[in-house]
Amino acid sequence: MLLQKLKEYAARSPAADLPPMYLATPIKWLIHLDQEGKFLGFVSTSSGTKKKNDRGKEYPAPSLVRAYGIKPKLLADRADYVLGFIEEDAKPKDKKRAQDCHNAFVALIKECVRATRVPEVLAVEKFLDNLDLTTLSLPADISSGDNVTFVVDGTMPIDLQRVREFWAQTQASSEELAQCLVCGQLKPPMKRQPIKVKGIPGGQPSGMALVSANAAAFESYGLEASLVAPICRECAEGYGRALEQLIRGEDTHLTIGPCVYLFWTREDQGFSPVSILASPEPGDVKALLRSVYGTRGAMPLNPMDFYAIALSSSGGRVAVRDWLVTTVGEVQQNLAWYFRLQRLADRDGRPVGLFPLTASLVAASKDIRVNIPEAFVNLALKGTPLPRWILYEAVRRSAVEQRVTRPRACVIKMALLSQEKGTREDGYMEQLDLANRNPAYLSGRLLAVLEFIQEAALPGIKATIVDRYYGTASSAPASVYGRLLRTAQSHLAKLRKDKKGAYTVLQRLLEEVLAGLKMFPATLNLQDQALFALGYYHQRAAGWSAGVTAAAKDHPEDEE
Amino acid sequence: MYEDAPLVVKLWGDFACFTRPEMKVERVSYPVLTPSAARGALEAIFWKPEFRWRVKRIDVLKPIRYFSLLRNEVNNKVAVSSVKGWGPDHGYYADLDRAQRHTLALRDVAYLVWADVDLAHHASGIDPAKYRDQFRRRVARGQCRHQPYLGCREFAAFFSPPDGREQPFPLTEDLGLMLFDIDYAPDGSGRGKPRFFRAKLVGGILDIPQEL
Repeated sequence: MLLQKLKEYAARSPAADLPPMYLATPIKWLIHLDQEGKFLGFVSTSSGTKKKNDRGKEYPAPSLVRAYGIKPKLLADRADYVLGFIEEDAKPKDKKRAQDCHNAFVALIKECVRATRVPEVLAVEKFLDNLDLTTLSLPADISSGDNVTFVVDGTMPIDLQRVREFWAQTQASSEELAQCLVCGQLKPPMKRQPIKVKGIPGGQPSGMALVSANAAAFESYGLEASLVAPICRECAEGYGRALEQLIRGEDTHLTIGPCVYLFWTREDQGFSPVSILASPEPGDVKALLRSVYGTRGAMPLNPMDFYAIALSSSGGRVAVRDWLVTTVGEVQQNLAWYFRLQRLADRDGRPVGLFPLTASLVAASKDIRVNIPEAFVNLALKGTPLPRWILYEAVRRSAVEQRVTRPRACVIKMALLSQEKGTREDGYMEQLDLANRNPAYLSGRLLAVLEFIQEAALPGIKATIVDRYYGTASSAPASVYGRLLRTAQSHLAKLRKDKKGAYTVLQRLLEEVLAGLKMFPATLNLQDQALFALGYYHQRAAGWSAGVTAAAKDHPEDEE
Repeated sequence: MYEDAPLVVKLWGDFACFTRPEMKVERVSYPVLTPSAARGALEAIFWKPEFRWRVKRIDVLKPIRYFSLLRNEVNNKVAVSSVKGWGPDHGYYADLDRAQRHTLALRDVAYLVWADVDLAHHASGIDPAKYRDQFRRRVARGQCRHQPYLGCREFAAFFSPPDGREQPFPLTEDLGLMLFDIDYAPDGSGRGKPRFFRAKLVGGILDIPQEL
């Protein structure tokens, strides 16, 4: 089904017009010839920007999948194939190989001339017959890996219909007919897939196969390589081109850590979750929420089919990590929920992008395992609750770093609340919750209050109590709070002398929080540690004066 | 009068992987039990050379849920010749021949499989009702030749007669081409060609074309 959907996608893209066994290929050098095959000169197609990886302009050109073996492409290929050109300092072995490559290339041209009698190819043949690299004025910056092709009297031979037919013929599969598992027709299957998938993080830059059996254990029924899954050439090229395009497309792909997500819809609708997931703008999120929640029941959900696929590399092969078929409407609804879940009080209240969310769970972004972004994308697209281990990672990371960052607080809130869809009213856990009497939550708030007191008493100190005690306070509050409260008393005493105003506010805030705490819990479990983190974060975000003002409003009797 | 009474068995399990042939290296499962996997499960319960199973219909009883898992697997097959060479001192070290492979499998599945028996040529004249009754008795007692499984040996299947309260999970979806079965070469070489059919889930029911 996946391959079929990809093929459908390819059919509506510009690549659908490519001839069989052709691919858009960057070609850096054009060799201009006249009708007689006389050399006129080299023309570079490079854009002029001195980019290192400038590989030239893209043309539809013959393509095939090549490993180390010598297999020439017709008329357009690397410089070592086309000209036998190799750098001066190359090893003798490679020089010999370049010569072999060139011979194979010339042989293919001769075959093409015999079969088609196309005058332009004949001219190329003549040129190659008289080729002498020592007299040819080669461009200074040509390298053996650059692609080269010919222009004969203004025409590119690779554009000619008969040349294209010839190339398709030489590449036709000689396999026995079999039922193609994409289109269902009886056709010769491809032994090797014609297009390798490039651009998978961690994969081989030359591309990898999605369909192939490259070891004995992967083969079945005595069938080798891709014959285990018979796919005809049209379908194989179709899905290959679609993948290529989706991986390149600005708003069709999203790479996070070791995984690339591809998104598309059955028909072009201009909907893509890429930008809103990667770098959500508050305005866009607001518009999304309004479109989903604002018109409840009034507007039917957009029923257009939506597909998402997650690819990663696994030992030189492409692994499909996830595959989702749903509708645009469903995705919009789940996305809205995803953003509602992560709403958290803050000065600017900006939504958090997918990358900061995932990166908040690991020490360095290179540690992002595939299943972390997977969990978030599943929540955003399918509405699948975040798994419990995400909560564990977030809590553990907070303890290790002795800090609750905004993305991490978002993750904790999402993980806590995603389990209970629709059972909580809007705004729950978004900001400081003064009515929350949960000991873990209050312990978290208390730590923030103690930190405020310390900051006020000793402005500019480098290591605060949070830097030293967050881990213990969040897991075993009873063991540290006695000591922390004693220290806070001396800080408060100092404040009473120096800053009367701050003293009054903080003293009241401390009392407010302590009033709810009958005793300090000896240990906190995972759920409670998460609440602790949120309590700490909420209190920090609310600031100390805000906390007191709110508390005063909530408990008017405190005014006396 | 038992002529047309269909055989139906309920199969369920925690995990399942009905591997798509195009993604069999880094495995991806079909969303629904395939007819050939259903046949395998039926054969595990009861099989005789006198008949072969023909799966008629599959009811999907639970929502389709995927999960992914990563395992170390070996790159080679067990061939008789290489086993002979192992001997007491030259064992096969799986650690030296490993590949890490990913599987996108299904979790928490349950199906009703409707099937019938087709008699072989040499069994003409036998009343197939006898096999059907044997099958029903075996299912009722929980007897099987080996534990049936859902696509992969390691995903064991449990089975029972349906209790009549099963409802297909209402899901209508075009599943595209699905593996029907393998046409094995008659020479016994084990070579075979996969055959596919257009699978369509209508209200949680997958009808298997009988002309195949």
